[in-house]
Amino acid sequence: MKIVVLVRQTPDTEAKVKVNSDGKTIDPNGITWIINPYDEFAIEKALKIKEQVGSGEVVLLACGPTRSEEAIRQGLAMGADRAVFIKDDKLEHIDPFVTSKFLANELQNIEHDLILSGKKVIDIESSQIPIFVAETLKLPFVTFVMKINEVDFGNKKITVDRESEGKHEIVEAKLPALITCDRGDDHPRYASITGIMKAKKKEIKEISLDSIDLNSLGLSKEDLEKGARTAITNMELPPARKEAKIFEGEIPEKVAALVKALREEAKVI
Amino acid sequence: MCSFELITDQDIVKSYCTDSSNYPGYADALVRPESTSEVVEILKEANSKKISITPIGNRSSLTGSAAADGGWILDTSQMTKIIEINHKEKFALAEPGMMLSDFKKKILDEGLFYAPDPTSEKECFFGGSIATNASGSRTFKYGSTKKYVRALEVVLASGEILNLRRPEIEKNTFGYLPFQSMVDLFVGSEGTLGVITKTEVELLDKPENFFGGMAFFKTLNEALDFVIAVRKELLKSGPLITPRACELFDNYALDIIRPDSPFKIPQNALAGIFFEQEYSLDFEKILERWLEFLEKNNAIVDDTIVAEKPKQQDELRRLRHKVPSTLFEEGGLYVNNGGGKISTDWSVPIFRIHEIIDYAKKISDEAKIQEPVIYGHIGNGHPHYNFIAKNAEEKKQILQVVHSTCKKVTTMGGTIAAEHGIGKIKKDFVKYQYPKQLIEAMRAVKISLDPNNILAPNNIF
Repeated sequence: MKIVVLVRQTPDTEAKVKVNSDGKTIDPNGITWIINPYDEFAIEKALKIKEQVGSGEVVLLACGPTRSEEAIRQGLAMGADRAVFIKDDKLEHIDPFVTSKFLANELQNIEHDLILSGKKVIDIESSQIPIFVAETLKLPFVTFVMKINEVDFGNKKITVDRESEGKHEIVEAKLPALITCDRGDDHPRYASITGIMKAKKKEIKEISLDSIDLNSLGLSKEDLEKGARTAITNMELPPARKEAKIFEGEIPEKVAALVKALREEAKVI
Repeated sequence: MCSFELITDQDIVKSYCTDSSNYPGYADALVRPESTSEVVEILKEANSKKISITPIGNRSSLTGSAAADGGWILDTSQMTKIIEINHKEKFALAEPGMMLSDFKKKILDEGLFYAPDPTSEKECFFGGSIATNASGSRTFKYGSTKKYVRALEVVLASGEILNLRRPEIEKNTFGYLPFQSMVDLFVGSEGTLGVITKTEVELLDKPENFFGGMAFFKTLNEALDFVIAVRKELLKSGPLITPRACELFDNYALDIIRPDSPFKIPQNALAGIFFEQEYSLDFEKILERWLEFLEKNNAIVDDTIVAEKPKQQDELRRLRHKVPSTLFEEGGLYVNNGGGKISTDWSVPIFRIHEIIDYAKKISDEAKIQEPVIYGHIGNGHPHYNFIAKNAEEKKQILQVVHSTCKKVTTMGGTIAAEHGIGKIKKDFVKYQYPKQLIEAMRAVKISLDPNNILAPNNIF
């Protein structure tokens, strides 16, 4: 039983994001980087499956700049067995389509019965990458899965519980399949001190960008910089919230002032 | 005619009368000054009429020090300004009424660090933490609040303003030593000597990184041995293992956090130690050393978890906080029966921790009372040793045990009140710690600064 988990490094949810002067990228200075939280749920689900089955291998697959290795080490410290890392600083700003092409290409070299990933990445708020991967590999996929109900590797099928629009759907898929994970009842395990020390010795197979034939993937060098299908043309922080206005005086005066402000300043009535 | 607003509506006043100790306070009125000059006016008025004033923060006191015994309550919640954050000289000057956690966050956002971290930092005011010399888990490395207070603006009962600064000279032979730094007289004075209206505190550089951890042990004694070893290691082995926190969970405390724990607590664990370690470089080298140290000191190493991510670090601290909040809630169920939570606040030099816990256990067993929950700042020899009394009779028996323990700790170089202060509900223990002449001398200081005894009456004395 081989499970591959797609992982990506993202800024910590508490990080204070600053936009670079190019207006298209974020300033990485001062940012704490973490594993994309939804990918952590996927790792947790993968480790649980392996524990239930009692054997097998959990392989992490990442595609990104050098710094992403820290996220991979964190996943290995949680208990994943090894990792494959398509590593190059030129991969910092590639779009979901290019990312998925690289991941799908590498997945052909990694034996897998099941592929898990987070339901979305929180840095660019995108759910596209795993879907593109599944489409490229012609695999069945189920998105936004809360719970893996059953994995039957013998009969090559998986049953999952996904949540959508106020209802739960129980979905069965043939293996190999790709599942994108939501939290469900899972709480990603903390790394143990021994887990972190062991992770240092676990294999991270590095794939260099130079070893990949871009043409065979239908990509060009420009796609790495500009994006093959989508490009971020402008990025800005949401406007700062305006200060609240407090009306002074007796209640009738306050109400009159409020109505006046709603009519003349906010222009909502 | 007062130039400040005196709120006498008892529906409002009553809600300010008690604190987290559930001490049944009462008051005639509430005042909410917005500035030092308003505090001056209030105190002049109250002093001239000999009306008691109890200054309060967010009333998280566990000893009734923020629960008024009559008179007026002086609520500091409207004085919330941070007047200055000085990067060059690394200090902040602030009014008392800001939530301590908000104050610390503002400092952190500026790239600096304010070290004191009482467990209640999200429930207590900055000013309250000064008036009680608050401490917390990181006191293990950084010491208590007093170490960081550089200067104070205090309004005395007479309405006079004192501006006090900790001396920066190394040599001084004038005056009794405890009076040489008047700042220390007011820090931790529980509102009895004056109203602190501004405080200048020392800031540190923000630690680059830290990780939290939780180690488990098969016995309480092994956990205590581990802490003693950490202390010895700290003294001997140089800068590598320098935890800033070292907190105990006994088996009952582990049972409290088990249902919510995001990590596995091994079934055979009867004690846990929560620790935090700062680092700039060599994370793996530090971790390697910790692993070696944990193995050598009988921790269940395979289940020792490390919290590297900010979210996990917060979760760990929340779990730590869950123990006192659960006990507080549980104790609350028995208050109407005359019972409730009985918390101790004693501490001893860490090397005598086995001795005092064995003693406390022996007398608890002899009295046949319910076993305590032991948790908290073990690195400072300061475990909270808490009981839940289900009724008045149990409470009486438990208090006898607490009295005996407090008597014992003072013979071991310890204290009866390491961080909660005396307030109104621990006054019976004062006699164990100091000779009566010394207590009288303290009272004389109080009366010389507050001749009408209007400030926080019934606190400490």
